[in-house]
Amino acid sequence: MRTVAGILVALAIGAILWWGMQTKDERSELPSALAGRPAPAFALEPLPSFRERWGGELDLADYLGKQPIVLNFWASWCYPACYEEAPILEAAWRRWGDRVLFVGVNTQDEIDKAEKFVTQFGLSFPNVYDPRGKVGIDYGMYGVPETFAISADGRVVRRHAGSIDATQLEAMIREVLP
Amino acid sequence: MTPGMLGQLGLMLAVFFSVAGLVSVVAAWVLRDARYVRVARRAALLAFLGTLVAFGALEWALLTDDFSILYTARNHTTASPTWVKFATLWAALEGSILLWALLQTLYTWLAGLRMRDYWTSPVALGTLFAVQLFFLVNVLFVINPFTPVPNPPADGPGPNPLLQNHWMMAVHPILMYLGFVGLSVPFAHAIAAMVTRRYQTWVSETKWWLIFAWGFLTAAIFAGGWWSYEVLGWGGYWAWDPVENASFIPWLLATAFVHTAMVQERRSLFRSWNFALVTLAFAATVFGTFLTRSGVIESVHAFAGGPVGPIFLGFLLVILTTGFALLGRVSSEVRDAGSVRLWSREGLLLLGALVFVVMAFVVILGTLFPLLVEAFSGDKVSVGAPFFNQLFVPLGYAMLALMALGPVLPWRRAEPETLRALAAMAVALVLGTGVGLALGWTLWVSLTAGLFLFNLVALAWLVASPIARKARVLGGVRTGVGALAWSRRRYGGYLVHFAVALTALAIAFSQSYRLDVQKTLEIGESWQVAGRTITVHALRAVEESHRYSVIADVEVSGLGLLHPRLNYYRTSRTPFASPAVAYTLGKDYYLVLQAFDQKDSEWVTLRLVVTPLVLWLWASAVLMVLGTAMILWPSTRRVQVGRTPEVEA
Repeated sequence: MRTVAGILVALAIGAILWWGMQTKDERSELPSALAGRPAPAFALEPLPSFRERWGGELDLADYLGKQPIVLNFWASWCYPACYEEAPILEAAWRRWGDRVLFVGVNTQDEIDKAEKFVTQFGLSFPNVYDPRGKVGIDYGMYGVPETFAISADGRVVRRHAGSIDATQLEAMIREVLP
Repeated sequence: MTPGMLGQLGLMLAVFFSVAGLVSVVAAWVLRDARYVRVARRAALLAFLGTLVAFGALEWALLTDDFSILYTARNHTTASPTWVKFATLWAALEGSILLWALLQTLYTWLAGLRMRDYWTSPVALGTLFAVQLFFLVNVLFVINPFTPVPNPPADGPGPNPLLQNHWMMAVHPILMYLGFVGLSVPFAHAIAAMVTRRYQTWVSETKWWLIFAWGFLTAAIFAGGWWSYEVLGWGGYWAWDPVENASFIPWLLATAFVHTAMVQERRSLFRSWNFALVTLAFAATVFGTFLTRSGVIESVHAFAGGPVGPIFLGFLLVILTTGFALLGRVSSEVRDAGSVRLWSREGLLLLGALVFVVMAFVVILGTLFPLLVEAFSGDKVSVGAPFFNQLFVPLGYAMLALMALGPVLPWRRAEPETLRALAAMAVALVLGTGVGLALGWTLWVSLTAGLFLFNLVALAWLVASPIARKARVLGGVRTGVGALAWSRRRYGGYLVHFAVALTALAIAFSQSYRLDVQKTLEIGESWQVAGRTITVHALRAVEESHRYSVIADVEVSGLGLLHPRLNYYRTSRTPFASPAVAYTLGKDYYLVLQAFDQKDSEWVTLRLVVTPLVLWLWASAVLMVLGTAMILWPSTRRVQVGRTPEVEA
């Protein structure tokens, strides 16, 4: 009798703890304080391999309000999240690049390590260099990686914290496509 | 050879020798042949060495910035100072379980060396092998830190910034694991006693290990409190955080067991109690590990949830089921033969153990309650300090009273001569409380002060009366004092009791009389507060390889310059405040840099927390560790008796 009761108690504890493990979801859709507001502009130097195509300075203000923008904050030391999403971002850029501008903001990094990352994933969308991470502060970013979708009228629409997958990125892009 | 390959090799060897050890003890048990136990002991040493190789390989990878393995790629950065690189090994899930496995193999080997009993040692050693195999298999197959990374990054994110903020992080986890893992040895002895139905000797065989682990748990809990005080910047040392609780539960159960074990040794009572307590204490250590690594609770300690949650839950249930199934089988044989009078040492020891068990239950309930509520009603609730404090205050008073009374009362029944001691203690209690009230202290603080004196008188009587008795018999007080050395263990216990009473006093004062104020000051401006003048001299920035810090130079009159700072790490936008503390015998002055003028560096916002007697909390931790060491130190007398003939020959 006592053994049965003991087993039941143990099972009940086990069930509760099991349930506790299942219900903790990872919330990556973070509400942004900027939601619906104009996206902060910035002008930064592109990483060396993008200077030929984009010049010595990329000014976001030139594109804001003209076309949708996907802004991705990353760093070469951000393993594994940034490494997971880099190929996904590149693939999406190749698919939607004619209608949506992708801008990578390399954050708090060293230039040679960042270049190595760009080469490793063959990134072809423009990536700018922000060693002090000032743009991240303007966007209220917690930590890399984070991805923001900016609509064609220049407002922040969506924010995704952490590594983004292809489905989430596609949903984000469809929301800002005209 | 790369660190990754060496680590894999070490782990494989460790698993191999653990299996070999397990097979050997099964052979020893089935064939009733003690030679296989000797083989198992050697396997235990080799398993330890294998794990040590894996540990060394991971340190090698960390110290040489090798990012070709999963653990370093995810948790390491070249920017860390060397000590952080070293401590990064236990800053995340995989490495911390590897450290756990290393200590487990060390305990298995050392405990195996001291196992002498022909009947029980195969089972006890087998239990330890099974436990270490669990951890090693997890490290090798489920959460392998040496998993190769195909395209290694040039740098990684580094460990959690909170863990880089104070050197104590290099010490606290090791102390904690030494305590947690150490409890596996008493558990193994208990399992062996129940399996072999030999109930007499296991307690005395395991007592040393129990107190050893208890000492480390105690040190670890205080070290964690100190870290929390010096790093988290909220001015407190204990927050009833789920993981603080998870370390407190095994401590409470182990403390209960330390006391009931004495009764079993002296009077062969509480035998089934002890089996239950030791099972629960060990299960509680696994429970704590489960909580931190499963994502069930949210806490500063929680590691990212991995696949190990369900595995640890299963392990926890296996431990509980094994312990209690065995106890159910033998419970009729270990029923207490004698009866216990309440008004005797064993009666009060039982009562004290009950208090500790109730405390453990309160902590378990408070920790799991939010989960229970969420499971049944879907609401998110949090159980905060008020719940725990309300229940712990009366339980704490009961503990303080029993702690003084227990050792004063003799075994079996009270004798007339103890009545005088009890009378003196009662006077001290009334006097202490009365003086406290007269000084205007709160009732609770006064009562704590009274109970502190109550304990002090009890300890004085306990120390003085045997000296007086010895002096009467042997003549001369000095001979009596010399006799002290003969019962070092007992005095170690008294020292621990004194330190616990001191802890209670420090907690009562620091919780009741706390000043917590905040003010924004211009650079150069002074602030008159708490009887001191606080002047901000400068605000400056310092760039280090792994972080960027903003430091305020603040002078506190009579205490010199303090440097509260805000540290910025690249993995987090939120800065981490590093408070600056000036300890004095009476009060602590604790300064936190809350905010500063980011444009022109013209002002700072400071928070000042003045707390009484916190220094005594840390002092009592040192006394507790000293007392434990006195109990554990090998008895020189016994060694001399054994050696004398050799010396003379």
